[in-house]
Amino acid sequence: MKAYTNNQEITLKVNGENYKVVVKPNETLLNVIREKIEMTGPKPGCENGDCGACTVLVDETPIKSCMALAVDMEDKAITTVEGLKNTEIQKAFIDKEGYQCGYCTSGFIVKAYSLLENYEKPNQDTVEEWLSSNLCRCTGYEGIERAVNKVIKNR
Amino acid sequence: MISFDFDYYQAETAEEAVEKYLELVENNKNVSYYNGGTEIVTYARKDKMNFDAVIDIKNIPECTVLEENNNKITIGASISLNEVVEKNYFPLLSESSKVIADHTTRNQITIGGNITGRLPFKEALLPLLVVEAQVKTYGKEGFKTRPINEVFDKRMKLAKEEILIQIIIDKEKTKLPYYQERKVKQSDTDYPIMHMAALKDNGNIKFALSSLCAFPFRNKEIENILNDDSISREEKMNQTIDNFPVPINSNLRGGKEYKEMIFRNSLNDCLDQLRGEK
Repeated sequence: MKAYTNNQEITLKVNGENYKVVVKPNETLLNVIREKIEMTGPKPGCENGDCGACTVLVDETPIKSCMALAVDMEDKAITTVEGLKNTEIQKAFIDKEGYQCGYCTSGFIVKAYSLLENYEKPNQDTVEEWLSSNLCRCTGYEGIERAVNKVIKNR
Repeated sequence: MISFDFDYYQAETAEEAVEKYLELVENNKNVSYYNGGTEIVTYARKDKMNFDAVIDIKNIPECTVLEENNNKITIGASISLNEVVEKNYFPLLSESSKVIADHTTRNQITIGGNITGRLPFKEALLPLLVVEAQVKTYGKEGFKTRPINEVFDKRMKLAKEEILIQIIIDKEKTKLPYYQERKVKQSDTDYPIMHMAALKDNGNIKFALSSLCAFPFRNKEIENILNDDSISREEKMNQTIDNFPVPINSNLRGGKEYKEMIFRNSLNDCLDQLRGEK
């Protein structure tokens, strides 16, 4: 049985790179990515699983990193928005102004990227179901929708 | 970040998990089993829950089974709600699961966590009550398989060290006509005001309800009322409400009278659909 007590070194694979970090079991994945790996793409918003600003992929599945323990993530492939540089969806968010203040943008990009990896041409119900996991407090949803639809249209 | 320290154990077998649980409790530790983690992490962060150790059960092979064979559907306790929805072995369970929380969170919420956790809604439980699923557990006395309707009474009545391992469903029953309705105050991702699930089996309605009262329930007296052709629709509704195990509660999502109206409308639709009554 694997046991994690107090401070312990673990290896997290983030965006294809291995990072050795010393963590305690009470540290969330969000906290470790931001504070110890120093990738600030995933954002602390509500830290209660509501807003989606902290969304990352774990083994290609989107999760909210504020509700995951870092010690539970060894041997898994983690992707943050930093790992989605120059992807079609990132470019579409820029082209279609899928952001206002930008705080929620990384979570939306990660979630939208996963949606478009899972569906070649998702219908609007599927887009809505997937993206309603994330909140934009500026209410900039139209730009986000335009960005996602641009990628779908180009396929 | 959770404000208090705890130890984290990752069990590979049910035996190992229970053995560790008993060992820690023997040493006066406060222990919690850990599955998807959504409830534990958010509650612990708000200091609404405290423990000295968690034992993660989601690497136990039996808890990760999701299969349909012969006459049974087996769902491991660590299967996520999205996996349940995607496989769609049991359409009523899929319908009830795909409205819980939001899509990303459903990748983390497990079916076991949804029905054994602290939150009172337990929406994935409703189809399991009406389909009369069996639950396989592991505790001090080894593996046990029992009807969920015997184990669930206001909450899952498991022994402290006992783990929910699997849910087993009779495949034939998953094909029965059903009705499912969930009402929310505002956003689809909000907690429900009411969630209703019903099946029509041999002409009779089996009916379970969540969120309207303090806990989910399936109640034989209510089913007798709903299936009694001699009672008028209006009277069925009145008697059904009279037979709730506890009164409808008022909270920020809705007052008692409002919730009762929502319930009456939904029950009306349910009876229209499943009994063909007008």
